[in-house]
Amino acid sequence: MINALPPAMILILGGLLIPLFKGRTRQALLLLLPVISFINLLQLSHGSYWIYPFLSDQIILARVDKLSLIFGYIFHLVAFLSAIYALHVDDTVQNVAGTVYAGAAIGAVFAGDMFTLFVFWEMLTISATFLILARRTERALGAGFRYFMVHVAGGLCLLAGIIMHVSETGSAAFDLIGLGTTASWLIFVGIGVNCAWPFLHPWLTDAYPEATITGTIFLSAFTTKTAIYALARAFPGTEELIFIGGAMAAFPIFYAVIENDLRRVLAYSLINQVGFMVVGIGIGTALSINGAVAHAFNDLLFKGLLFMTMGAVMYRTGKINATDLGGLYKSMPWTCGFCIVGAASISAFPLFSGFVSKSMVMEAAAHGDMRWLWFILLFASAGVFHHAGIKIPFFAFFSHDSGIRCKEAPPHMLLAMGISAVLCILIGCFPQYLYSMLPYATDYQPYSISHVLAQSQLLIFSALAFTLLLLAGIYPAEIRSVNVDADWIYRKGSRQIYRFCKWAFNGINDWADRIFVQQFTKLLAQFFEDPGGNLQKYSYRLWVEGSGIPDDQEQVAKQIDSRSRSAAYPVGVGVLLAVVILALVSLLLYLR
Amino acid sequence: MTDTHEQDNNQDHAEDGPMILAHEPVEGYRTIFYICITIGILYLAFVFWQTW
Repeated sequence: MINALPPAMILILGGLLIPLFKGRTRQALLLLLPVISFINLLQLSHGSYWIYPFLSDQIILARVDKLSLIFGYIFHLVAFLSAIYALHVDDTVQNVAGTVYAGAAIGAVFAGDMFTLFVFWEMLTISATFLILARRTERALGAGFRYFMVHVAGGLCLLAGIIMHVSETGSAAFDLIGLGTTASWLIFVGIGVNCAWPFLHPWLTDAYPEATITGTIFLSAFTTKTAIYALARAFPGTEELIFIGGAMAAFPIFYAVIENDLRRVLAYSLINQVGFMVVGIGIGTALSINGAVAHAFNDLLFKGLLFMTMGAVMYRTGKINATDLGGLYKSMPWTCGFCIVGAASISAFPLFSGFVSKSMVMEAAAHGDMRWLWFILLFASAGVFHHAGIKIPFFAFFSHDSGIRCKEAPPHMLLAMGISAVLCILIGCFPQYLYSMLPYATDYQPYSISHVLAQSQLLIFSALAFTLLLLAGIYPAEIRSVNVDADWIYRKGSRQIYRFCKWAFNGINDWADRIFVQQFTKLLAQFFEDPGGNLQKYSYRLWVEGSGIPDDQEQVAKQIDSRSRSAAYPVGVGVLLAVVILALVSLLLYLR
Repeated sequence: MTDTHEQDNNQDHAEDGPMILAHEPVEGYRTIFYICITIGILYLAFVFWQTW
């Protein structure tokens, strides 16, 4: 007998009940739901629960092990912090969507079979779309629509893969899959869409900055990390992931540097950090998978913290572009301080959380004798310090004085940011508590002399590079613009495709209309005005031209018309028609 | 001074602020930058030569 409910149920059902409550009661419910759900989770020990027969297999609503538990813990914590941060939001759509979104992510990481995973996967898509649409602007509407379309396509890919996999193996269990079959590739790519792989990523940088202030906090947490969990479960040690992750870690740096919208900078930074996790899963050793999972755990905290600080700036100033901001450290000192903690954590400063997890992935790459990968990750580490560690706090709180004077962030936002910041420092100083929750037992020591020196050297030289680039006037200017990367495919490319389709398909349509509707029907109508007569005339014409015997065709045609009008056909014609009909009937019977 | 801008949209502010935030060079730093870059490249080359 289990004294608990399925892990996702409390948040999802509770979230759907939110519209029934208002004011303080609703606020209390929003805070209590993650807490009750977390207490419920603590009742579950390792094993599989709520197993029901489904088609020829079974669905498993909860598979509890170390991998699912660590994601379950951090998802609950982030849901709780996000609820504190969003306490001022009195918008039913956002309240419901945020809570259901968190519940769906928890449901996905505890799913023991692929059908359950798929249901929660799609629930993530729907609830996330509402979080984007809830901003109720034209841009948010467009971004939400694009987000939905991309994720539906990814979901269909996943579903096709699941169905093929189940029919091939006879099992729907969500365990190690590995690449090799078409089904596994479809599942792999379906997960990759949510993971924001290169060329599949534009939904992230497109949609997250367009969501509501609090919606972005939720969005930054769950979709990509659920995908990381799914990869860690189904594709550990898949070599392709090393290349994909390396590209993810490196390419966003270039876009983040030139980006003006600071929330979009963080969106690129999110892809960069997920790249480290993907690399860790791809390497596939116990150390690297531990590193990937630990980094996902830490990223949820420090990336959430950075999004919270930028959300607070936007909440107070109404602006988020680097061109508009600057000099806010006087008006928002606490927010500035928390932002610096988040920046130090994501940059992997020693004694901050990013250091104790990122170094695990780097170490795994070095141990695996993947020197090229190690250099890419080193470059990515310098880049993330540059754009997320320095650019974000510098352009928002320091840089030039924008003249904006505003209030400090509201207390509940400060509380959420404060808890996140404290956790970032605690994990950085006492990583053993995090390590004890990881899927594989580890005695990894992040604070070795070589780790600390190498990372400190990297950070100091990156800071020097930023300073000199800025003072030398080489650093690219912040420009109010929309930077298009792979979303060119659907922002610009789709217009070209539309124009081509318009030309090609409308051309075929016009041609078909001209031939079949206008000319062919006209000919048919003319023929069936006098079918018998016309048949005789055409047959006669064919016979004359085929035999080469000269004859007065016009005279004969007139005779045929005259006979036809008076229905006076010769006997021979009737016999001929009867023979033709009999031949056709015989042929049909023979073919049948 | 407003308290909140929860529902504000960037495009609403498209005409509000500056279009570009350029970073004007400070005299002398470009030389320092090139010197640092040269030292950095030499240092990296030395490290690769020693370790590869």
